[in-house]
Amino acid sequence: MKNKKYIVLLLIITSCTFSLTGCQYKSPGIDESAYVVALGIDVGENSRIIVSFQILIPSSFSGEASQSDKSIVNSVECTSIESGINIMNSYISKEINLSHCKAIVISEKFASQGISETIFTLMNDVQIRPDCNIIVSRCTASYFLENSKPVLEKLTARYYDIAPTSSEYTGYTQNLTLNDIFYSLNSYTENAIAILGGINEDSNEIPNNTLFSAEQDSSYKANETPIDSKPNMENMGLAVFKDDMLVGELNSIETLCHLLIVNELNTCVLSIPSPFVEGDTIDIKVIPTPSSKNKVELINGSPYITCNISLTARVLSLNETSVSLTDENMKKIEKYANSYIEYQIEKYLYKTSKDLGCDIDNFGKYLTKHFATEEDWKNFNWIGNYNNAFFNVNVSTSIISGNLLIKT
Amino acid sequence: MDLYKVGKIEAIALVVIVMLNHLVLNLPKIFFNTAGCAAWINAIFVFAIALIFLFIILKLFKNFNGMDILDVSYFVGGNTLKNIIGFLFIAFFMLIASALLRDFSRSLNIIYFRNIPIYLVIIVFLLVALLANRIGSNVIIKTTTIITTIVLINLGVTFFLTAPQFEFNNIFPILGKGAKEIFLSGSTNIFAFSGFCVLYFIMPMLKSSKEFNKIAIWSIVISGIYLVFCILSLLLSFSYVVDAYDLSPMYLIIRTTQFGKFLQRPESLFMFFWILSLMSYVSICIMFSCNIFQKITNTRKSQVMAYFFTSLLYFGALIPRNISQFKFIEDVIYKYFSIILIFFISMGILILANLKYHRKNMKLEGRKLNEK
Amino acid sequence: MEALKNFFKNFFNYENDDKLYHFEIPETQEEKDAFDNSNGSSGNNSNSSNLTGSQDQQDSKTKSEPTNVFPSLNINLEFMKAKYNTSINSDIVIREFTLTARNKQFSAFLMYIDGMVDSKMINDFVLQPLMLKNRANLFDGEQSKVVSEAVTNNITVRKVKRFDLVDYIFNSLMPQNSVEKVNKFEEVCIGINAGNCVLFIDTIPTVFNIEVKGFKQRSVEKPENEMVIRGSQEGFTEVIRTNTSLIRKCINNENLIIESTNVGKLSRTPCAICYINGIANDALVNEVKNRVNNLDIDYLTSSGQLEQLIEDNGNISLPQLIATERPDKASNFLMEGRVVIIVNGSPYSLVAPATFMDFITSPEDTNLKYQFANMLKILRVLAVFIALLLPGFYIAITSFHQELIPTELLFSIVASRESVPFPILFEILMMEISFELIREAGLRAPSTIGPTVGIIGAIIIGQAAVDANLVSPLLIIIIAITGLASFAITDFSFSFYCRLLRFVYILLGYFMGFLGICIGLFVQLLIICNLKSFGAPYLQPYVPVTTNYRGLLFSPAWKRENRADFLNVKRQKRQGKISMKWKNSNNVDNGG
Repeated sequence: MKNKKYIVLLLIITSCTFSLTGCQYKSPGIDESAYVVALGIDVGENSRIIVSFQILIPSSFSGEASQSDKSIVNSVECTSIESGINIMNSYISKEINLSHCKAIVISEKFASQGISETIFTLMNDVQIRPDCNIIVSRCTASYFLENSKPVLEKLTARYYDIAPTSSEYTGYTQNLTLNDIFYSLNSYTENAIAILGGINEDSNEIPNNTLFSAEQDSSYKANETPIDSKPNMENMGLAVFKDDMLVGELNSIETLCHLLIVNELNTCVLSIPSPFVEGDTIDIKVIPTPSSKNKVELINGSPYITCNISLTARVLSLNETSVSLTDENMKKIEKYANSYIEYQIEKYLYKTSKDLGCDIDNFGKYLTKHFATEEDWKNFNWIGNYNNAFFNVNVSTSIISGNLLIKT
Repeated sequence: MDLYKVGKIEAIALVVIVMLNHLVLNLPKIFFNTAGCAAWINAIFVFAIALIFLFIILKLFKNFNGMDILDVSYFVGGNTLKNIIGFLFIAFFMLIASALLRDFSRSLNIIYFRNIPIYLVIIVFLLVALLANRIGSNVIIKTTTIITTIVLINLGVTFFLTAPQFEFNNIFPILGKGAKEIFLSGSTNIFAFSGFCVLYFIMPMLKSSKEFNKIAIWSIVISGIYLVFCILSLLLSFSYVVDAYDLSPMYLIIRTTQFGKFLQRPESLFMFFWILSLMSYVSICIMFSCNIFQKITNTRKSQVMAYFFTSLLYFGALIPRNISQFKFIEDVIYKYFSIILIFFISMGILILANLKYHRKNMKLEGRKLNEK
Repeated sequence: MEALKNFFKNFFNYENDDKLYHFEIPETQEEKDAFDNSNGSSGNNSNSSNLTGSQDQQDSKTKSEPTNVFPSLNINLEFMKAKYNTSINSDIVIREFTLTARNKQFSAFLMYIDGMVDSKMINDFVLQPLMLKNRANLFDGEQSKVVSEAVTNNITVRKVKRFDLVDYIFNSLMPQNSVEKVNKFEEVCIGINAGNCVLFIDTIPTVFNIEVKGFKQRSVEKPENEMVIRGSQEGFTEVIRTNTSLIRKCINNENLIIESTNVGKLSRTPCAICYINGIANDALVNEVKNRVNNLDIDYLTSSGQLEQLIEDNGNISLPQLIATERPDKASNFLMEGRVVIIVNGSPYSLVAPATFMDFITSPEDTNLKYQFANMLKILRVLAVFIALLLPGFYIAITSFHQELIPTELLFSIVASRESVPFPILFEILMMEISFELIREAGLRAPSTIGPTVGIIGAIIIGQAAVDANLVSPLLIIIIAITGLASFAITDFSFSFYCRLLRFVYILLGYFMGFLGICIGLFVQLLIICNLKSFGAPYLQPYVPVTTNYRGLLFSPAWKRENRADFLNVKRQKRQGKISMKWKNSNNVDNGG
């Protein structure tokens, strides 16, 4: 049949157009690419930025290669990320490919100078995934990359993948991606946040114990925790941006409050002051219920924000004097828990509104329904008004049970 | 053409795929540009207009069973009008096909082939479309049926997968850029339903012209539902203004959606199906152009014109030099051309034809009365 | 040069499909009439089995060969000897003897081909009654037999039956069930060639064609290539009569028509066209007969050959007829309204028309509960896609779309390719070709060394190639899965189709990534949509969409009420609206 002829001809033509002219058009294959798993951005001394690439060496994990050095970190000082990639391409043998980049590390110093250009450039890049994590590191980015070595995983990429998910059960940080930060940078309802990271070192001193003991374990930020190990990556807390500049950092308990308010916490462990023994603490495992609701109203032009948070909890640690979880005791614990959490949340909220002036909890979205058009909403200037916000936090905890309590 | 008659589902698929291709590429962008976060209201509004329009057309076509718009225009204004309308529609098909082809190839160029020049990508599409036209129009219609189904499922899966990240507060402020924008300048977005152009020509191809009403209603309803859903899913997923992007918004929504840890970037896979749908779309445009050409010139074998139309498409797709020119063609020329041609000229012809028809009838009745 | 010119001329000149042969199964009588009128000549040829015959007659006339048997034995003998080259042909046996009939001797000879006849039958039931003198045979030959006698007026009127030697031999001396009187040399030869023995008798120009066939033939065995677990274990054999009887055994209905015809001018291979009167569409049956009977070929040895000669589009590698060696499968198709063609000498029967859905259906499916059958079907569809596309996808992804691969997988691919010196295309082609080599070698090798080939292949491909860093281990997995998938496709020729096109997809994927694969899929879809097998759309019921839905998935056994729509059968319902009548206890005879 004739058609056969056409098909053959078509195949020849198409193959020719691509193969004859295609040698120079061919995109680099899997063998010619160097895959970057993490990108670091620092402030340069002479030029604008220093870009660090953490590149995986593939042969290192096939077979019996040593565990120690699986990736290399190269830094280049340049004016922009793209030119940095170009310079780096001339240095390493393979072509840099960002399509498997898992984390973008921005140093604190760079972040405080403004990140919007960087974020827009990265978001515009086809290769970079919008779901890669943005980490603001308290040390330099290249130092961060050099010291973040997977211990429990074989692959650095998986390590970067898994590490931020710890927030699901600790609540000490949030799994924030490039897409999230881009979204909030463009938004008129909220401010941007990023993961706060750092390299934990031995020499950490336990900060002065001025707070009461319940708060101590949960008031650390990245690279402050008293973990005794080799230097390694640690994500704890959040970095808060106003416009596109870093203005503040949240420690772990504040992060937890943030997660409680935006209702993204799965579960966490919380130490609350013990109602039975002065100065002692009780650990409870908190599980938020979906019925938590936020409400924003405008009263005399200033926002009045009500947060109703309802939690269920299990008691994890008890001392022998209070073992019996009677109704009365549980009510007592609930009461203490409520007041403690309320206190923390209010502290956190006033910190964001008064000190930082940033709405990172996206309260603005509850207010948009009061406005007819986008124009009106923009003119209202929510972020500016957030400074005057009042908060009313209601926490209702209900203790269900202990865990495996055996009464002696 | 005489051998193969189009069944109901095939006909619906033909109309729907014209819409789907635009939906995947640029329609939502235009809706967001006009109405902001009230794009969904605009979409529903336009959908309603389209339905009203549809019923008017169905009423107007009632007296012209088995005729397409060319036959009707011949009835009204003889050969001259028929030729004018025919060439306008050919121009329209060429325009939408080349604009879409260029847009898609550009996206493809950015996403898949960063190093391959755009004219090669376009050539590939056109060669395939040419081949399809050589094999025959009935095959194009059959293939389109399969591909439409696949793309409909594909988009359905997209809604389903993006559902977890919906944020319902994103639809506020409810009026977006303002009521005037939504209902006044937004009404030009009726061009989204350019699938009407297929409806005008499909009548003589149908197995039974009685089914025309059903086909028209079903196809427009499906298109409308998909339009509204697409825009809603985009709106609920991103609150920021989508036109910050040059690329297809549907691509971006899949790009930002997480599908679990294993398949982290399925957007290339979705793109895969859209390529198929564009291929059948271009084939359909060439097919209709050939058919119209055959009808206005009364040639027996117009399929050889497929070469001409293909080359026309090729050059048409390469005319815009950069994105701003190309955006102008897509957003302004295409928009207003389709509105004027599909919704005003065609409608006008149909109304005139009905008037003439009734007058003839009156005369006939008058004569009969006189004879009595 | 001229060819090139013609090629381009062809390419740019549009020829309408008018010249091409079209056949569609008409739905109604009017449609059929219209079709017959439009198709004119080809439609009327349907009963043209005598067309080839007359052509042969013409041939023989031109050679001025005698057509009719001579009365003289000697001339006949000489003629037959010359015709069969008995001096060279060793297995042609001519037995001359004297025949006794009514006490009269006639010289006669028997002629047959040694090995094709049952010699015991010739001895006991042909030669014995002819040569031995029994009592009834002792009457004088000239005596006329008195049928009745009446005496009126002293005149004896005897009603006498005139003695006829031919009738006498036929009626009294042939204790055989199948004897034919022929008087043309052509028919005589057909008889001899088919394994009968012929009896020439002096003075009469008639030859007795006695069926004493006794081939050495294979008994009915298990089907080799279409295995099922819960189904009949009988397979077709090489002999056409056995095969037709196997079908008869499955369908106990007098409406099953088995028409025979001969294909091949020289070989005269017997073929049978089976259909069920009252179910199969007449036009379809006529079309099949028309195609089978209008073949200008010298010889036909297998159904594979016939398949290629009667399919709609010979250039498309998709199978357009189902070949099956299972009588139960063939009977199922017959009951559905299709036509089965059996070729003598081939244990595969052909079923027309075939559609895509048939090639992913296994004979096992009807024996299983519909849930299991559907699972298997989905698995097979998956297998088709894997066998067709997996290597192409692999090469497209690794050369163009690396972002699609999960990071961990990507790094293991990169790591596995670290020390492989070849580009991916070469690597994958090399592996595919060596896989095909192993497959072919294992199939064709003598059965004693067949397993060895497999072992060598496994060692070379699996272990040594990886150790020698010729291929990456991941690629081996890809090739292995692809190979596995191609084995999971039930139909042999369909899996061939996938194997062949796989290479096209590898090239397309290498040159253009997903775009190339899309082109391939689109063009393939165009071709498949265009294809019709004996008037049935290949992709039914999806293209064109038919309301009577019987598609990929099985419905429960009690819900399969209709026969497939595309066949336009005469009897649409195949079971009652409520097939399980016992559930409705009122309507059931309780048997007392």
